[in-house]
Amino acid sequence: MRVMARQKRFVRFRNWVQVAFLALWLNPLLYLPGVCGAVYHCHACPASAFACPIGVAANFSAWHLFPFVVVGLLLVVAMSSGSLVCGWACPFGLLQDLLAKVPTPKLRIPSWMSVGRYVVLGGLVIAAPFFLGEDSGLFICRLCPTGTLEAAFPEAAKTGVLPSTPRLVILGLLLVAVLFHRRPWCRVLCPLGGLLALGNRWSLFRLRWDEARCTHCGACAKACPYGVELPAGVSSARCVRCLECTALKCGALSATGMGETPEACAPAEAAPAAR
Amino acid sequence: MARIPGRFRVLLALSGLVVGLALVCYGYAFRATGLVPAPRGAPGSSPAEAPAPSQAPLWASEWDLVKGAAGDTIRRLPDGRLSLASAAAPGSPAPT
Repeated sequence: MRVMARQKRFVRFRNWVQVAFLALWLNPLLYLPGVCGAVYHCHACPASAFACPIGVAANFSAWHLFPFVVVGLLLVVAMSSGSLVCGWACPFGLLQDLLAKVPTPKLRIPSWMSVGRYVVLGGLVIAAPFFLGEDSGLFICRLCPTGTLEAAFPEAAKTGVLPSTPRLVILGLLLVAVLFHRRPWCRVLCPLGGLLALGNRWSLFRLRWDEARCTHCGACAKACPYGVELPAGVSSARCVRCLECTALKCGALSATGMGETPEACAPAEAAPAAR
Repeated sequence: MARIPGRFRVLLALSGLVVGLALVCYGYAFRATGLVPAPRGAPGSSPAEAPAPSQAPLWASEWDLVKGAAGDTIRRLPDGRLSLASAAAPGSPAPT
């Protein structure tokens, strides 16, 4: 119970944790270009401290090389925490979360649209650079809205060269979409989020649904800002691990670490009843 | 969705972690393919609007971090291969 209360308190500070991570990713005093950050941000930003894993993967694809470091890093992150970094550490996620606070009606995104993340991954991150090279207009970095915000606009301020039309159109559409949907980029197009979310079902850090506690009231489904079908879809690849559902009173959904397997977490009162 | 036994899941996750760490170590220590893009806003480092791929150096190397060979950069050779070239000692052996 005490753990649950701690979780509830912690979830309230999610935006502040995201801001703290933003200060880590975009830190002019820190410059580690040889290290990939596990979040979606642009390494061409004048303040970026780490390399973007998607940018690196796309460049390596264009060079027909296997990006060992990126694949290894993503495997480590996906298997340890799944998409937890999406909900708590991604700077682009923070931007979308803040824009979502604008009081506009929020529309639902159909679940099938999350396949778009893998289309972007396969098409713009791997296939287009591999077959068309790094100068291709379909190269992810030439379309990426994060790149437009973090690198193309600072570049435009410096050189006076405006970002290309496709860039501006994509960013404009996304900013409009953010007003009416929660995290449209993360849920429909983000290739990094799609990759990390594959680990949601297997990762050491995961969400657990305690069926014994669940009253099937549907409060968790309503509380989920991102429209995940809770509680059954608790390990869904559409979840960004914001952990809002763990802050509900019933406590049927909770975050667990490596030591707590579903068997170990079974409610104590369930055992005598079964006998 | 079928429930995954807890121990099996933990074992799989740990295996993934070990393989991931091994890939990272391998990439950093032994292969130039562990290289990641470096200079902020440099031409060709992706979102710049008018990239100039022919301009070298475009990339700094993790190899530098591991070997402590400051000043080394990755260059693309005319035949398309990548080469580790030291600014101090041109023609140093390429790890690729």
